Amino acid sequence: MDITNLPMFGLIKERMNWVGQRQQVIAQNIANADTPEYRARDIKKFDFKRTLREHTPNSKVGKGATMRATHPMHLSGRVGSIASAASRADRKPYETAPDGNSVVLEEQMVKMNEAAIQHSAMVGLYRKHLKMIKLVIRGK
Amino acid sequence: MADDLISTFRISAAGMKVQGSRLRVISQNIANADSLPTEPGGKPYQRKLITFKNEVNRELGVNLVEVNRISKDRSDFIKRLDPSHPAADKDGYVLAPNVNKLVEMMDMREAQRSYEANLSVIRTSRGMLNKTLELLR
Repeated sequence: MDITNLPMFGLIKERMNWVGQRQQVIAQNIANADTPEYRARDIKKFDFKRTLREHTPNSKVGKGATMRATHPMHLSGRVGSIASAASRADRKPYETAPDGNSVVLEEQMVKMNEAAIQHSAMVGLYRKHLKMIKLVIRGK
Repeated sequence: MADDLISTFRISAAGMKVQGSRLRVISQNIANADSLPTEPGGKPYQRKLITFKNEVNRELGVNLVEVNRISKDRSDFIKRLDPSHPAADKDGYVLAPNVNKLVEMMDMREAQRSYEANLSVIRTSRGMLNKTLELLR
């Protein structure tokens, strides 16, 4: 098993990617809290099932969703990763100001804290996992 | 991922910058709230307005907020009865700036809150980046 290619780390990486991107979108919203006609944006929800499938090629859950390439010209057949999720305008904003701005600072603050917590959870998981691997290597 | 978080700094910094410009316009309005004309028929200070827009920054590949334009408020001037003033018309009225101090104060508070919100985004992003970097220790 390739240590740099563990499914767990892949999942965590993807999730952190997503959180980082969401943070960027939230920063964008807050910076534009007073821009006329600006609509608050958010990115697509993190699809855990799909990401898990992508990162576990030959397990019970994964069932080998990735295709085997037997020729250098073969495409991997993997669907685009969640990391490229595009941001889009919120369908149902809390409220819209008379100037057409739909950013609610409180809402964005909640989202930002959500992102920070999710991020720190991922960092914690990563560290725990690393610790477990180290434990196995050291064997004590 | 780090790229996203680092560009967050730039986005929020741009947000803080425009709020700073907004505060500058507000302070100008408040400071000139009593700038009356000096001769009959003269115009007093006209209130200024600031608007923002979201523009693509090609260098970073993200949208940064910037000042759209600073325009003049076209609403009517306030008429103040003061026959002894040198700029009073024949009925004794002087034109005073269309600045409402209460509105300016509200605007100021709003600018302050938006500034703080941007600042806390920077703080949170910094915390997230630091946590990621701590993995190296």
